[in-house]
Amino acid sequence: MTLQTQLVLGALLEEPTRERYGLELCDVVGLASGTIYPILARFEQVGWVESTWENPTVHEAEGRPRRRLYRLTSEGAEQGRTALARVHRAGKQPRTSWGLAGGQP
Amino acid sequence: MNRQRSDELLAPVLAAFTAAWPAQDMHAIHNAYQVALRCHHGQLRKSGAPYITHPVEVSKIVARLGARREVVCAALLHDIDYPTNRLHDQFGPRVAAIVTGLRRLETRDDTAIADHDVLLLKLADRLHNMRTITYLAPSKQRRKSEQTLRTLVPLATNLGVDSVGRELSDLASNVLRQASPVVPRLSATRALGLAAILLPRALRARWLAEWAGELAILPTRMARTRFVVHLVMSMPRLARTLRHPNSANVEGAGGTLTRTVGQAIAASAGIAMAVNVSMTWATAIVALGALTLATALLFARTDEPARRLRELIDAWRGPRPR
Repeated sequence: MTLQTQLVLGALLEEPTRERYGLELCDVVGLASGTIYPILARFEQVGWVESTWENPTVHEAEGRPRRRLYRLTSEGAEQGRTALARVHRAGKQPRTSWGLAGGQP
Repeated sequence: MNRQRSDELLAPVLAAFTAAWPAQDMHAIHNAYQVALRCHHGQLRKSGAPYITHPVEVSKIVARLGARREVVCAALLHDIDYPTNRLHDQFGPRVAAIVTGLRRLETRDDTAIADHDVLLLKLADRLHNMRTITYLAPSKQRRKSEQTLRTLVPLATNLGVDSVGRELSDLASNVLRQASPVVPRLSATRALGLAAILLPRALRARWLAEWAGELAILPTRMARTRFVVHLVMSMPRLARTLRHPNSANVEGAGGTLTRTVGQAIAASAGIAMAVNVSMTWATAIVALGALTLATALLFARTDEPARRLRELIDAWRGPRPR
């Protein structure tokens, strides 16, 4: 897992039930838009994150287009925590190849 | 210009003057007109019309405002290159003073010291020029319009000629309002739309809508530019993720390949967005060409083309400090 992916996952796990905008994650994690969105897209693909459009009453009242909200799923919370733990256990060993271990998302 | 034609040109001026000053002799106005006609012989306006039409129109404007004879004469003479003493000898001290005052105003642009007649003439001069401003280059049009709004419209109000002020304001605002399309900067939305061609078609709309929503709340142009440039740079990476969901797990390494390709794309779009110059379609086409190249590289069977591109970029960049 790249460092950036770990950071995003960590931020999501800090408040697992919270819904966040993409830009919010950029700020919290301290990474640029171009880094955040591919990571979120990947998480969405493997089912760790789900995204929805924000409530119309919110953005219509403010007179702006709707924004997308991201939230950790329950599998995402569980498997994400495990994955992060694994990374920390692996410590500072240099990465070799990232093979597809069986059963990994 | 034959006598009959030139009389036609002056007639409205005389009519307007007589309406305001019924008893007054108009000999001087005729003289002024003849002198101007001679001096401007062969000269043309930017529109291609004979130059004499300009002083005649200006004199018409001041005459309709009820200006005195000396001001009408000065209007007819305001662009000839007679020295002050010659004007003085032929048309008297007042006319000479007004024309000289206008010349001084043009070089020093200090309305505080000019007298009422000079300022009125200045406004009338600008009004006719603004009415015919389309024959100037767009940048000159903008500059003149900005100056008009800033200095001359308030001046018109101060002098009590509201109709002139209103027309100047309308003409100038019109120019400035239309000026934006003349300087098309690559908008954030357009840049993203271009880059999003890389994404799978079914998903394009969702992502573009999402980014539009984020752009709408970003407070500054700088922030929006940063947002878009980073996104455009990483579009290949996002495209790869979306197109190949099973190709790597979440724990897979990020691709330096796609990052390189992204950097190759970002140049045109990023610069065009961030720099305050007019965006030509050539730049857009270059960006599009770069995106096409990126697409080809993304789906190439081997790493060879990407590696070669990487070498090219590195060579172009020159040695970088490690």
